[in-house]
Amino acid sequence: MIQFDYRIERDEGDEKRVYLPGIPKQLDDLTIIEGPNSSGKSTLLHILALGFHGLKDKRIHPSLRKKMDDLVYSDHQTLGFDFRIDNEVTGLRLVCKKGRRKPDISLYQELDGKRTVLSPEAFRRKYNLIYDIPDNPTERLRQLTTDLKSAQHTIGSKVGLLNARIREVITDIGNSRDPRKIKEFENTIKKLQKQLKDEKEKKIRLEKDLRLFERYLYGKSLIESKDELKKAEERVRSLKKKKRVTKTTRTRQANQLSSVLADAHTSEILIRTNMTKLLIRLRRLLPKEKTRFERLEMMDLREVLIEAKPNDMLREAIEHFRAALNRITETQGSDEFKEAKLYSRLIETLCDFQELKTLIPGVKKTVAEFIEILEEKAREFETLKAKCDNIDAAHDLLNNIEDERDTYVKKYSPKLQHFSAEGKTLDIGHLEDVIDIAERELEEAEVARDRYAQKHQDCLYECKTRGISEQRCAAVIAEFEGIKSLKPYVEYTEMQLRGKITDLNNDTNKTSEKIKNLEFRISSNERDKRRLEKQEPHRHQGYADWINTLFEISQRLYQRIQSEYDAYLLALIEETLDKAALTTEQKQYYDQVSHFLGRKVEVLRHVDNEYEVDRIDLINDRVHTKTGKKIKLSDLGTGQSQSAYIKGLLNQRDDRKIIALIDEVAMMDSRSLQPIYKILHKLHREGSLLLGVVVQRADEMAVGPIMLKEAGK
Amino acid sequence: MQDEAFKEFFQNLLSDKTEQQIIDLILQGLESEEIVDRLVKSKRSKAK
Repeated sequence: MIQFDYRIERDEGDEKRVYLPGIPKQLDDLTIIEGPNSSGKSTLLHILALGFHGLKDKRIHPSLRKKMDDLVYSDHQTLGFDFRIDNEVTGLRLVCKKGRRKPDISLYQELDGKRTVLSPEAFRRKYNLIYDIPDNPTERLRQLTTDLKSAQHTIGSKVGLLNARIREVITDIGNSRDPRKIKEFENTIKKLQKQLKDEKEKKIRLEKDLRLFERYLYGKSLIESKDELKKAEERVRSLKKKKRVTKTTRTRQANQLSSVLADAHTSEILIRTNMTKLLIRLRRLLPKEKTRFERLEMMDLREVLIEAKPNDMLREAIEHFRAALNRITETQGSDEFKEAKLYSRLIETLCDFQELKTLIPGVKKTVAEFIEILEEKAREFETLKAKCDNIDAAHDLLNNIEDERDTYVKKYSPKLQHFSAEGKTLDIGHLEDVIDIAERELEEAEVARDRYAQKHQDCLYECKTRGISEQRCAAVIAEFEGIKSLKPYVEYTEMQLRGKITDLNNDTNKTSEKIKNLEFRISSNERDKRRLEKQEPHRHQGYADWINTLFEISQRLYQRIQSEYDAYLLALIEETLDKAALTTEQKQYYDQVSHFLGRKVEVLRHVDNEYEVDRIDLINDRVHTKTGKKIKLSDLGTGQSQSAYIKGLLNQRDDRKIIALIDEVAMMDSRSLQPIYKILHKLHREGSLLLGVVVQRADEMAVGPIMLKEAGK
Repeated sequence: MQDEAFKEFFQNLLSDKTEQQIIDLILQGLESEEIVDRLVKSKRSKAK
């Protein structure tokens, strides 16, 4: 039985109206309400669904949720209500209240004197609210699969929990006293101990070899480095001496050469200058000697001077020009030359006395007047005089050149010839290079010596660290070379021996790591074994292997339900299936879905007969009856398919109590409604249905219990 | 959740006996621990 009341205050613009229930405020558990439009019958269902947290129930059709939302949250109206459901058989009571000013809804249950608040989640755990309007029922038969979807999800989650539990059991068995596992630990420890022993022996061998190789290398290196150092020091000493000698010798040579070169150069310049002057005069005096002049100009004066041949080109030229000049003098006549000289000397002498007024006896002329007479006479010999002066000057120049040449040949030529004979260029820079080379050689030798000294120090240190004195080195080397297995290494270079030592070091380190790791593993296994020995045996002890297999099965099942089945069902609901490309697994799955839906609808009325449904094939939109009839969904009457859909909803059976609110069943005739009523009565009798309210449009208001027609009527 | 329709749905879909057993026990409403115990018990009795 349900008792209810509500009050809606609505602002309709021109007036404010209050709406109160237009039907009796107390109804039976199974009630049908018939009435005209706007009589408040659907409003009652909205209010009841609101009270049962229907606004948060996604399974309820969106159009119904919209209407519920409008009732609570519209600005133009306020709603207050309360209702109470009493089950006489079980004593269960549901109480719901909502004030007009606040949207909060209070819902609780009372059972055996205990009151429990029902939050939306708590309500859904205990009750199944079915509130539906059979809008386009043929299409919505597809939505009956949402029940299956929810079941799949629930079962999938429980399989997930089972997985976790199985894993725990596996861990627990592993942690319990398992004789087989203890034996496994013993075997593992034994195996690891054997490996440890082998690795330790290997390490001892490696360390012994390493010691031998190191002693051999450093002993040998000490002797070799000492010898090398000695040689290097000797070389440094030798190069220092060489540098000193070279520097002294070269400095002296450089000084000598420098001085000789400077003097020779001055002499050479003097000769060259005189030659130039000479050639100027000779070109006037001996114009026919042009070829000889050119040869003289082309002559390498320095080479001629240094070679200092007795009859070189220069000397020959001097003799030749001297003779030629003498010939000119002889050809011109000595008297004319003497007369010209006379006048010239007289004028020269008288010029010193030209101020005297004394008359010169014989000519009765003053000195100045006599000079004028002489100059007049001398002018007749002017050309001859100039030629005579030129010849004299040329003779002087020839004499100078000859003297200078003789001096050069005597003083410088032998020295310069000596430098040339040693193959040295007459260049001071070359001597500096020789010194630089000696210095570089010495520097390199000193670097090498320092390197050997350092190496020797290192070897001394390494030998000392290993307790090898310098005197013991030979014995250490002999000891190594005396070992037959080490013979091949005697041929090794120092670099190769160092490589071998690095390898041995690496191997030793790796072996040490292995030993540490093995020791850790042994200790860890022993600890686990001791821990296991202290434990009690697990009750599933002997089934550890099988439980592992069970885990794999359960894991596989979880994957299949949560991933594969979920995807299959979603494709069916959303009609995204490619019928032509279904896999065997999909076909099997959809076949079972069609049987599942058939069981939900159970009986279907078509035309004038009732049929037991075998399956509903949503892929091909067909209902298969147990008599073999195939009915296309679109061929079902609206009322008949509506009836099938509602039956499907009501057949969602589990442990929860059902509250069924079904709106607008107007399209169904009494023959279609009767199977629904039958299910409602059956569920009510079984105690599964708490409340069933069916609303139908009619011209007259009528409220009463849902009645079953007697058979045959 | 003791719905025969669900049980039939899954039993027909799964060919592995253990998988079927698991679903059956879940639909009977047993908790995971009980399910493991029942499965081991069943295995034990089969072994005998």
